[in-house]
Amino acid sequence: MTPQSHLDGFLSAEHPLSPRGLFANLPAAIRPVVTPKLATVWEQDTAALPRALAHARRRYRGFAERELRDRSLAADLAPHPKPGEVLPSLAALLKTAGREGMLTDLLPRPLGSASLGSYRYPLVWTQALRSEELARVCGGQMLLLSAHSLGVIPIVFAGDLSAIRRFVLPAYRQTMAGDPHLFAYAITEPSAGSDAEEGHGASVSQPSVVAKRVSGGWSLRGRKIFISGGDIAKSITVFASLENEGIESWTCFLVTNDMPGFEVVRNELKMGMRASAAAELAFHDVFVPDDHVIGNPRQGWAINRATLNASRYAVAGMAVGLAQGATEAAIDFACRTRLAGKSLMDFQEVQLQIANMMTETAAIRGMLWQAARKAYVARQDRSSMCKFQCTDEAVRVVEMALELMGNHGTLHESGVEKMYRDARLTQIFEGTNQINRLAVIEDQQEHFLARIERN
Amino acid sequence: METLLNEEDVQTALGQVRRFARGAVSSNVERPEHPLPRHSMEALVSEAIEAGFIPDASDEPTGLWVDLDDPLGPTLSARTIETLASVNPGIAWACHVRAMPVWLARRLNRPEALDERETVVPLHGCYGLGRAALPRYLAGTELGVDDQAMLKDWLMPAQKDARRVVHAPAGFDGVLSPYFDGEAVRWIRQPIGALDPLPVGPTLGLDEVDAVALASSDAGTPLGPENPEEARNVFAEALAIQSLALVAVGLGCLRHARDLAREQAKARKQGGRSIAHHPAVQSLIGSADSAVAVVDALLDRMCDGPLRGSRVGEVFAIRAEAHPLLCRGATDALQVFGGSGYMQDVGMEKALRDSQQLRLMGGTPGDLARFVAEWERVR
Repeated sequence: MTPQSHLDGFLSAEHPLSPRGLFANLPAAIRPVVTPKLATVWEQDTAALPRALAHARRRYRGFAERELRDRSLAADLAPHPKPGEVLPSLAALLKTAGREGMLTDLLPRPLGSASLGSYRYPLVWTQALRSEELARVCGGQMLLLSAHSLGVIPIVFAGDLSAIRRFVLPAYRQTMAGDPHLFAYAITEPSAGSDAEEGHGASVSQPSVVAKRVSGGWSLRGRKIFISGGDIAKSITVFASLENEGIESWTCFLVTNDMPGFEVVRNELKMGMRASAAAELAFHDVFVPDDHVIGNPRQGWAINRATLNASRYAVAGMAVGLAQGATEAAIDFACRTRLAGKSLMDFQEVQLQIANMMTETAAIRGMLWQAARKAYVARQDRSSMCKFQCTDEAVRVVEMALELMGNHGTLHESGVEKMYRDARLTQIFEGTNQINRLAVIEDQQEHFLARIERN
Repeated sequence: METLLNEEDVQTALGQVRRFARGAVSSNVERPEHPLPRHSMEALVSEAIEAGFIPDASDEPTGLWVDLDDPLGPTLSARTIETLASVNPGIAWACHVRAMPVWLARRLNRPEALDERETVVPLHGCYGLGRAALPRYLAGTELGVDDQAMLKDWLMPAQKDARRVVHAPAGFDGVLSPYFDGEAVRWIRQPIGALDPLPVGPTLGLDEVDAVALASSDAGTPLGPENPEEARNVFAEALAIQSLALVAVGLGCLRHARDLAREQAKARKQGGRSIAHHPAVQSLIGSADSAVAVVDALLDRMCDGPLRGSRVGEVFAIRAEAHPLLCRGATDALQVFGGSGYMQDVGMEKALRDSQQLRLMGGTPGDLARFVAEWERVR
């Protein structure tokens, strides 16, 4: 069969009216300005990154393709493991990820695995690139690998060097040696989802996990729910109120899974992101020694808010990755499926839809990178804007992919129906998108108040 | 035209369906995280046939899609499906799937089409809705070579791995397939074995039914109709019925999700008071409410009078708008639950998956909109 020289409705590159050929005839001085090299959007974007981040992005993509791709659909279909159990294939993934430095990149070498070069740029940017590339291939495995970092961030943000030295460094060393020591981040409580994520409801909420002062430490009692990776984490940053006080007394405790009284009650049956469990954790008078308080007592709320301000960039990155993955799956489908002798890619309605998907994905990536490149200080307004805009738009892009593939998109084997289920979580966790909208207003309220005053 | 049904008949019949849905169906689907086992589905469908909600192969069947010449017939069928779907969309879809071959066999006047134990009617082709060729054909326009090639390949694809996907309860053994023979879309009865059925695993929604990919084959018994105009009408009517069913299932599904969201908003406290007082939550529930109200009105419009093939453009136009609304309502209803909504035991994620699944079956909103544009241009 003769290779197709152009898609229906377009000119071939050799056609006299094709800009490709015409540009080549322009004066030599102008040619480089108007004649870009042939490159995919991914290649263009990667080339636009600083060298260290471009290198990181290529590394993340390589890892995802090599380690996540083949596990993706099977891990999604597998029954949820019991608390404490991990599917053998995912256990192997965690070991490999540990050895390759994918679980220890919050700290620079030799303490962790991040390159010193990447530290010239905001950490949230690197983390967003990482979550994008992993989510592009598998949302569930991305979460399995990323929830761990979320558990470590509070220790870093507490500025508690002793805690980093005592808790993070040994765990990182163990992980890089191929024996993953995972962390998890526990804020959500049965009686309060969004209350734990923003201040609007927090001031009047009734905390569920309470820390009571006892000799030499604290006794934790209560429950946390929907804790990503909480079922297999060895160390968990748990936020609890002090006895007879409100959420303003929140304190961050480092709880290890071997402490008496700690229990993983169950793993939830989730819609998507099923390679990573969401666990319910119970604290039955768990004794936590004083030296396991992260930062100082009553600093938990601040640490929590700072953590969310940083982690929401990563969630936005996940969304961009899912949108990218769906776009690529739709393109692949359109290029391999034929109808009445033509590739679907020849049909204008398909071309329009794919152009929309590519552009919407590029738009949210641009928004995220623009915000993240300046996020040496993780601003609440920017991180929340990125979180809700990128996740809402990503779901729309995945819906476009489903629509393009029609009935075939609904099949599990298409991968896109999984992406839809995975993407839907990004609109909920790390604060629902409604809460994140309010977070933008909260962060800007001084300016609004000043304008009200002027009027 | 003879009118057999009156408003009271319809309400009485729907009352029986409601009792069946709230009784037999509801007790089988209390745990949304556990799809209905196959044997329970078979028992429920048998019970629905017994109760007269689904027609059987008898000479005087009653139930879904039997009274479509009656002005109130479409309403009775659509609201029956909606009522069942408000308890479980998968079961409602299964009932529709069981009723379609009976409608088709009666419409073709070929009772032998139902000889197989269980038969399905896969209406959509391998991809999309036959692009502009389908509206041109259904409108009676002369078809060009490209149109003919499109209709042929759409309904019986030539590409080796191109398959039609059927969503139906497992175990069917016969297929009534439409095919384009160069002149008209006619029907052929095919044993399942001729189509190399390939189970394709779980799908986005409708957990209660299976998805099977069928290969192309012209082996089977032709069923006509001979008359090309009649053939056109039959196919258009079949497409319109399927659209009506999809919207009705979607509406029932969203009613259920909206009701759950309302209950959640009332019971759940956040920031010290019921979340029903928060404007953010009111916006979400209001979105689901308005989607229910609009699609309810659209369904009435679809059912306004006998369902003739000439109404296929109108029915498609309505469906093109209804499904995005239904999906928006379902996702907003889920959002009211926050993290809980993502968990299978609550039932909201199932409602959302079902809504999305329905949007993508039998032509997507984009396919439908393009059909309508061409239909209106040429007819």
